[in-house]
Amino acid sequence: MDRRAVRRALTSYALLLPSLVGVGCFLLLPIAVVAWLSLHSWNLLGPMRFAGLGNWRSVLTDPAFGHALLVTLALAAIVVPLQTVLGFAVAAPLARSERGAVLRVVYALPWMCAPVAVGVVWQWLFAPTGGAVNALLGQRIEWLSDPMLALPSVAAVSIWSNFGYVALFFVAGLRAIPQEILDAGALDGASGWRRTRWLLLPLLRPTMFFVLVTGMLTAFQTFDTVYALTKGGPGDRTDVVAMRIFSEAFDAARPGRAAVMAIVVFVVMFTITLIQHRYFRNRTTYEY
Amino acid sequence: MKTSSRAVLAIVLSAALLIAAALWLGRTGDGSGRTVLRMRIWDQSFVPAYRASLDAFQRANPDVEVRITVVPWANYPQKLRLDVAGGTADDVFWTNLYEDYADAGRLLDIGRLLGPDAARAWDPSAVAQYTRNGKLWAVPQFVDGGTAVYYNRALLSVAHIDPDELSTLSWAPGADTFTPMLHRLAAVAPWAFNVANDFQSIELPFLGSAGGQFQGHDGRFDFDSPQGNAAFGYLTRLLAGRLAPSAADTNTNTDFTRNAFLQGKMALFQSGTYNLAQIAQQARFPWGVAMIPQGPAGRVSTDNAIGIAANAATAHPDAVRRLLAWLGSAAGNRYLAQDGASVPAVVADQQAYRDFWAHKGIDVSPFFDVLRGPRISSGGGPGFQAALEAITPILSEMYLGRIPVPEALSRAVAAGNAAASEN
Amino acid sequence: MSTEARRRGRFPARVRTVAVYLLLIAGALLTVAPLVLSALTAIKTPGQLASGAPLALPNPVTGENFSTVLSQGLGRAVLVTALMTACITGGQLITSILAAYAFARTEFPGREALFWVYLGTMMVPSMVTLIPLYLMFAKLGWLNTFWALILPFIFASPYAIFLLRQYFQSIPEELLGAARIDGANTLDILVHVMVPMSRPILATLALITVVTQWNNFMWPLVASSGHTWQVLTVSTANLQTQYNAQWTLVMAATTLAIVPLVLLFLIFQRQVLRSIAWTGLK
Repeated sequence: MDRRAVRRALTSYALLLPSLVGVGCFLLLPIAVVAWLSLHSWNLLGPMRFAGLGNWRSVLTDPAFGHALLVTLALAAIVVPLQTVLGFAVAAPLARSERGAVLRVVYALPWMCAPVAVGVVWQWLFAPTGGAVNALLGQRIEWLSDPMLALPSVAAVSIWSNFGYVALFFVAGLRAIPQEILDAGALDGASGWRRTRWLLLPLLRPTMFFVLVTGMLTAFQTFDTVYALTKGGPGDRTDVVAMRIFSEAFDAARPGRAAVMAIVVFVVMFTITLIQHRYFRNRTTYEY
Repeated sequence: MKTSSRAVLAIVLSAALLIAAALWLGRTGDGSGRTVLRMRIWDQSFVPAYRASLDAFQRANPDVEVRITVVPWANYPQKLRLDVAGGTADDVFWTNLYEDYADAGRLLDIGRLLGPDAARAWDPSAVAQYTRNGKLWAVPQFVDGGTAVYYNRALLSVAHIDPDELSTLSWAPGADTFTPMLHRLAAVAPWAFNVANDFQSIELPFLGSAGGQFQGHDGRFDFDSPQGNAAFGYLTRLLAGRLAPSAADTNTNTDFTRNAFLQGKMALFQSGTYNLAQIAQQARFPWGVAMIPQGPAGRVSTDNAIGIAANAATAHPDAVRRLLAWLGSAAGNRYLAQDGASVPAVVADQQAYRDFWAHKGIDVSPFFDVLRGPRISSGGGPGFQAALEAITPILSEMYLGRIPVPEALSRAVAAGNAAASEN
Repeated sequence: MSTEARRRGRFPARVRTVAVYLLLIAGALLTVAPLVLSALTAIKTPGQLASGAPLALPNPVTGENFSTVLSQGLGRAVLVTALMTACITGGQLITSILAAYAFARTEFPGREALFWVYLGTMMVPSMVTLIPLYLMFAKLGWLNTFWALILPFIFASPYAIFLLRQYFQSIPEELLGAARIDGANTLDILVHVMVPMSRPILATLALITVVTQWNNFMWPLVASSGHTWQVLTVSTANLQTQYNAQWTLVMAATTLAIVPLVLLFLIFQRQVLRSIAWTGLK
C-alpha cells in the first residue's frame, strides 16, 4: 500500500512540476523579495538602507492608507455582488441557446476593450457639460466630482466592464449540468425563480465560489478604471489601495512602503477568501 | 497512434512553430560594426525631426548609429527609473525630473563632458533648470516658452474690445482691469477665461505674478504665502463669478478648456506654445496671441525646458559626447524647430521658430516677451511627482468651492511636503 | 403541478421567453453603446472631436486615423502581441490542466496547503511584485527579448488552476474509475476523459487568457524597450503625448485591437460549446 501511495504522490508532483516552477520562480520569489523590500528604504537609484520596521510603522499609521483600504472595501462590496447577479441574470437564459452566442459576445465586449479606451469614453459619458448621461437625464449631475456619486460611478463602470465576463463562467457552469437533472427538476414542477433558487444555484456553487473569490481579488486591485476616471478624486473619495501602491512604488520612488501596503492588502484578501471558503465548504457538493 | 500520443505530438509541433515564429520576429540587423547608441524620448511626434537630425549626425560620424526609442509619456518616469536601476537604460534619454538621478550619480556631468562654454549657447533658464549643485546634468533640447493668452478675435469684436487692450490688463487688487474685461466678454460667450487646475498655464503664472513661488530653494512647498492666497483667491473668485467653466468640468477632463476655445465658446485661453499647432490647425475663427495680465508683481511666467541626459553607465562615453555636442549645437538643434513644432533650446535657433509662425501670420512674441521679466520655477526635486499627486486633489476641491482658499493652500503645502519627504 | 396548471400560470411560456429576449437585447445595446461611441470617435478627424460634442456623429467619416496608426508600427505590435498571447495561452492551458487535475482528483500530502499557496500568490498586488521580477530579469540579461514577455506567465497561472480545479471536481468519479478499470494511465485519463468533459470551461479559459494577455500592459512595458518587442497596449499608449492625447488615434488603435478578440470569441463559441458529451452516466 505504501509504495502505491508514494507512486501516486510522485505522479501528482510530476503533474504539478511545471506550475511549481512557474509559481516558485515568478511568483513566490518576487513575493519574498517584496517582503524583504518592506524592511528597506530605497529609491531604486541610490543605495539601499536597512529601515527595520520604519516602513511598517509609517504605513500602518498613515491615515491615507487606511482610508484607501476602506474605499477599496466599499468599492468591492458594491461591485462584486452586482456584477455576479448581473452576470448570472445574463447567463441563465443564454446558456443553452445557440442564438445566444452573439449576445454573449456582445456582453463580453466591455471586458475585451482596452482599459484606456474604457476610461476616456466613460469620462465623456459622465461629463457634466455635454455628457451623454446628463443629456439623457436632462439634468446636470456632476457624476465624477460629487463626493457622494464618485465611487458609485466608478463602481458602475467596473460592473459594466465585468459582468459579461462573469457571465461566461456561469454559462460554462450551466452547460455542465446534465440535461437529465434539469428535466427531472422540471418534472417535479419547479419553474422560474424556484427552479433557479433550489436547483441551479446549489449546483453552481463551485462556479459561484470561483466568481466571488476572483471578483473580490480583481475588485481589490482596481486601478485602470479609477485612474482614468477620477484619479482618486474628488478629494480622496475614490482613492483605492492600488493607486496608493502605484504612487508609492513609482511616483514617490518608495518601494519599501509600497511593499508594506502590498503585504497588508494580501492579509486582507486572504482573510476575506478564507471567510468565503468557510461559507462555501459545508454547502458545496461536488458531484451529481 | 493512440490519441494521447497524437495530442502530445500536436503540442510539441505547435510549440516548435511558435518558437520559430518568435525567432523570426526577433531577428534584428546588427550594427554592422558601428557603435550603436540608443536614445529615449517620450513623444512620438518628435521622431521625424530627430531622425533627420541624427541622420545628419551619422553622416558626419559614420562609425556611430543612433536608434530612437519611444516610451509612452504617462509611464516614462517609472520605466526610466526601473531601467536605470536594472542597468538597461538608453545611452541618452529625455528628462524632466532629473534630481534623483543626478544625486545618485547616474548621469554624466555635462560641463565635464562638453566643456564649460557649451552652456553659453543654450537658453539660460533651461540651463538653470538643469543645474544642480553647481553642475549641469542635461543638454537642453527645447523650451516650452512663456505663457500667453490666445484670444478669439471674432468674440472680441462682438464685445467691442480692441485686442491691443488685452496687453494692458492687470488683475492686481485695487487696480483690477482684468475682471471687468472678463465680464464684458462673458456677455458674448459662455465663458470668458479658462481658470482650471492647470499647473503650468494658470497656477504658476498667477502665483508668480502675485509675487509668490511654488517651491522654495530647499525644495519645500510654500505657496500658502499671502501672495499665494492672493493669486488663488483671485482665481476662485473668477470661478464663483462664472467667468470660467465649472471645476466639475475641468478637473477630470484636461482637454475641456482647449476644446471650449476651439469651439468658439471661450473668449480667452491662457496657455503655452504646446497648444499653438493644434489651435492653428483647428480654430475656425480669427485668433491671436496677447500677453498675460499683470499681477501685483508684474508678469511672471514659467519656462519649462526638456533636456537630454547621458547615462553614466553608458558603454560608449566618447560617442555619447559627440552625440550630445551635436544635439546641443545650433546645427543639430535646429531640426526641432521645423514645422514650428517646438522652441529650440539653442538661443540662436529660436528665431527660426518665430519666423515660421510669422510666416503663417501669427505673432508669437507674447510667448517670448513675457520671459523678459522675472520667472517662476516649475518645480522639481525628489518626490515631486508624488507631491503633485497629493496637492492636485486638494486644489481641485478648492476650485469646486468645497474648501476655502487659505485652508486648502495650507493643507496642500503640508500634503506636498509629506509626500516628497524621504522615508 | 400538471401541464394544465402550468399553462394557466401568470404568463404563457412563449411570452416570457420573448420578454426575456427583449430585455437581453436592450441590455446588450446599452452595454455596447459606449463602445459604439469609441468606434465613432475613431472615424472622426481630430478637429471634429475637439470642436464638436463627443457624441456628435462624424461628418465626414474618415479613415485617416486607422491609416496613421497602422503606418506607425501597429501592425508589428499586433504580430508580437499575437505571438506572445498564443504562446502564453498554450503554455498556461497545458500546465493548468495538469496541475488542476492533480489538485482536484489526486491525493497527495500537502495538497490543500499547496493549493492555498497558489491561491495566495493571486492576492499580492502585481504592481509591486513587478519590481523584483524586473530586477531578476535584468540581472539575468533576459530583458528586451521575447522570452521576457512570456516566461513569467507560461509556466503557471494560479487563476487558471483555480478555475479548472473547481470544474474538475465536479466530474463524476465513476467515469474516471471506469477508465482506470479499462487500463488507462494518467495521461490517457486526461486526454480521453478530463479534457473532453471540460470543453466548455477550457474554451472559456482559453478566451479569458487570450484577452488578459492581449490587454496586458505593465509587464510588457517594463520588460521590453523599443520597437522590436513592443506590444499593442504599449503602442497605443505611445499615442498619448504629454499635452495632446490624440483620442481619435487612440480609439482607432483600440478598435483595431478588439477585432481579433471578437473574431476569436465568435469562432470559439460556435465550435466548442456546441454540445457536451455526457455518455456513460447511468
